[in-house]
Amino acid sequence: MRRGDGPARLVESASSARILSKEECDAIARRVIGFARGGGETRVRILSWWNGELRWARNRVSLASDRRDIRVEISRTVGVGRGSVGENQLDDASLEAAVRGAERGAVLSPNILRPPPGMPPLPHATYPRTALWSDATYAVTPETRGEVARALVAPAEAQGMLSAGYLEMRAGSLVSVSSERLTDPYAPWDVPYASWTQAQCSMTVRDAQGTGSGWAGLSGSDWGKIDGVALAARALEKCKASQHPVSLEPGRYTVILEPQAVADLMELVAASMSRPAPENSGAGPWALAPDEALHLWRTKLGLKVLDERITISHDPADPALGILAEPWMQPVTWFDKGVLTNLAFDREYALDQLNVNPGLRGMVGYRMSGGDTSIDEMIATTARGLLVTRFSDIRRLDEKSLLGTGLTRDGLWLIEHGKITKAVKNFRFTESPLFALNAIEQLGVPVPVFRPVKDPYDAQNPLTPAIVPPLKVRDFSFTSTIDAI
Amino acid sequence: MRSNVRTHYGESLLIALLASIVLTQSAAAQMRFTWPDTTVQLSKYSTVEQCLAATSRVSKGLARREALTLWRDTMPRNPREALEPLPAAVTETARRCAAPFTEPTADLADFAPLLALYLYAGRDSDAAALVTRRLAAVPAKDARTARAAVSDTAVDIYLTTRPTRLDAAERILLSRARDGADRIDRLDLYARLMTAANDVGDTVRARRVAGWVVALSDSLTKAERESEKFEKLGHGSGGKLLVFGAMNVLTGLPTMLDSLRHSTASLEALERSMWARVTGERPEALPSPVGERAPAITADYWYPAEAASTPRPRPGHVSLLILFDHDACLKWNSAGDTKDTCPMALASLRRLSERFPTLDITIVSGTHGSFLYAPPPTPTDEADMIRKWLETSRIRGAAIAVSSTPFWNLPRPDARRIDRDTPNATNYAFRTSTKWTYGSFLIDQDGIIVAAHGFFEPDVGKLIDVLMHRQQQKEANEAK
Repeated sequence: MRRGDGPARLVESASSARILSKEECDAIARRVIGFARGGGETRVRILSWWNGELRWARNRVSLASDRRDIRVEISRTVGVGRGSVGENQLDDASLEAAVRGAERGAVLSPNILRPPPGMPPLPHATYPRTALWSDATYAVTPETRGEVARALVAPAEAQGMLSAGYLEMRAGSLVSVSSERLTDPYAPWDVPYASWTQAQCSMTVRDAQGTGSGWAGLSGSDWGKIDGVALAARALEKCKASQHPVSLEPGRYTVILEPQAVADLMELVAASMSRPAPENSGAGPWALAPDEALHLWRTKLGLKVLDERITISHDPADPALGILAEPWMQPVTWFDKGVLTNLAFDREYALDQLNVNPGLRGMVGYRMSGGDTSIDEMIATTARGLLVTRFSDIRRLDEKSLLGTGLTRDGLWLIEHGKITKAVKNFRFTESPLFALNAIEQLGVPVPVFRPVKDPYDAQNPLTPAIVPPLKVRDFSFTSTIDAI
Repeated sequence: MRSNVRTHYGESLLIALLASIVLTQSAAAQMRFTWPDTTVQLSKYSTVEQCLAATSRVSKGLARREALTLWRDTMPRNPREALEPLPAAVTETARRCAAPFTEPTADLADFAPLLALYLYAGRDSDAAALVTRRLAAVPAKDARTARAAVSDTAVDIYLTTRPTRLDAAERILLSRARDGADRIDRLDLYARLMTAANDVGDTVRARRVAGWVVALSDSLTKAERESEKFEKLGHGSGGKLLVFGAMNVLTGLPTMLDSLRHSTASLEALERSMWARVTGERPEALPSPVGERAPAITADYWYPAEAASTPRPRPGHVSLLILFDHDACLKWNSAGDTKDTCPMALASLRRLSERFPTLDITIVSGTHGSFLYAPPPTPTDEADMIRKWLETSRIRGAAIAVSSTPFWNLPRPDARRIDRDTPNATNYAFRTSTKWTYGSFLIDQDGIIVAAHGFFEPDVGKLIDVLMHRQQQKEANEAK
């Protein structure tokens, strides 16, 4: 809703606050609630965000922006109806007009929402503290990003290579409250105040002839922990080493998967980690068999499904993971020494099937156990195999086995007799991460990987960081060669 | 002087202007909401889909507008609503928008939406011509399957577009039945028509078609009756129940009420003989609890508490048992919104309780360990929440019986709760595998089950009426 005198600015300069504080959010919520007329409930959801980004290609900046915005979503429940209006202006006239609009919507579109009498008391939601905030990320200015990009591009350009990459820093805050519960105790569906930062840096370096490509990237909430220069050096080194690849026959190879490749493959597993589908219809990899007597599907919960050296867990208080707090969130282990121990479920399922309050959020961020073998040691102990930098374009082919397909990218090398002997043209793989995680020979030290967050509250893209080890896996299936580097 | 006049004139004008502003603002302030101009700009729409969408928007807009003043969930259902004409605004929108689409030049690629649009517009003759043209355009290869698909589409549209066109649907279905369909397929086609007629309250047509179903069923061979195709009739419930349903329609409610007037045993005998007649099985094989003695309801929590001291159903009273599941009636979503899905049934029950003050109503429920968005601390708390919710339906004189549902949990880490059957669910299953957790039983004054329904049938009032008369006559005879 834009007015003639232009949008009301949240901040007047880039150096001032980029997102709303809790006090500012509370003040806006109280103003909105104060404008409501005719009783009923008012819900206010205030999202503020800042996004600073810089993209470059062929060694030149192609995009640089520093944006911020606010979204106030007002929902009015009057009688049996509910209406909602979104607004990004914070002056009284705009907010009051939005409230009136929501009230009109409530009259126009009755949703037949009727709270029954004798409602149970609201369960008291407790929010665990998490570490998603970094002053280092929040302090990055457009000038800083420009200087960083210059430092990242320079080594590649000096050697006649072409660099392309992306830098992004984000911060956001969210409040979602009701006129009926402006302070604690909140309902489980309220969000008292949450704020977060996210940063990512990734780049690809290619030679001018297009025969070699190297990639490196990292993401996390703290820009201070992302060493862009080291990433640039790594991408350049991989590019140079991957020039003039040779073709190999597709087939089954022992592979050394760098941590990023393991994380890419694990996305197939992460997306499958929920209860309802296997329990209701036997869908997905975790359904075991129908139980005719109980009229339900048994699951593989409690069964060993992966190599016993694999434990995958998350802890919302783990500063390296930075998982957004949700009510009652507890540390959870998904696989314990290879045994499937948890699958995600929502609150409705929790109440209905388990008679408990909290749901269990999916495997959005996780830490995978590892070993102490370095990648160099893995290479040294490999008679013939491949070193994989990362995968791309992965998609699932079979939901029961999680068989998937995708491409190797940005650096694939042949290992012979304990040494890297040559760069290899990329392959398409057709493999299941479950098979791969049952064919592990060696594990390395887990490290953070590139798994950037868009919006931690975005159900469509809720990725948060992952910490995974490099793995040496036998009999990994490559089914065709591809020309792309 | 002129100056004064001008001044006075100016003051008057200013006062009038201010008054008009104040009055206008005042009027605007009092007008909480002005209905917006919802006139459809039909000139913008050039395709059939656009016209259908515009018609649908007008229809939905009117329905929403009606919802502001009518709470249909608690109003008696109008069984013939589907036969009533559409609001004039909807028909007019469709008529104007559909004007450019003429038969026989309209594109057959638009068959399904155009047929619906013609019907909305009241152009039934064009609709019939369109169907004929579409059927004629079916390619020779696989013609029977393709014709069946086209006619299924047409029938669905005829039956779902208000007012329901039973004549047109019947013509198509009969044409298909004549078009070489085997006898079980024909049985299915007739049953569809019978159900559609019954649903919209066209009892004459329903009985006529039910006669065809029963006659055709009589002619089936043993092999046909034992075929998988026959077992899958009626959306999987089986051909026997389908034909039994037709027999019920053919017999008609008045005949059944006459039997009930005589005795519950007569009604039971009628139903069992109908079952034997249409299936060739023993009368006792009828999968129905009608004629069974109603087991006493057990519960851990009774509301009011004194209800626990009297057996339910109460001997000597006409009783209605309502078995229901609050999980099925009350829903919530993760945003904290609640929605109850069965207020209409509870409102019907309230009206019955007011119409028959001596009707003994018992609402039977069980605990699940959760109520809406919270797990209650104890079954007692959950039972109390169920009571509070049910009591707002103001069902006169109803007793509420809540059982604490026994359950166990699968071993961890699965840990799912598995409810066991309550004694009531087991007792009311009789010899069938159906565990009633959601349904109603009408019981006569001798404790014999007269009818069992899914949840609540509109005709239950007529059955209760007969039972009440029977009771009054019995009491009058005893008084003599």
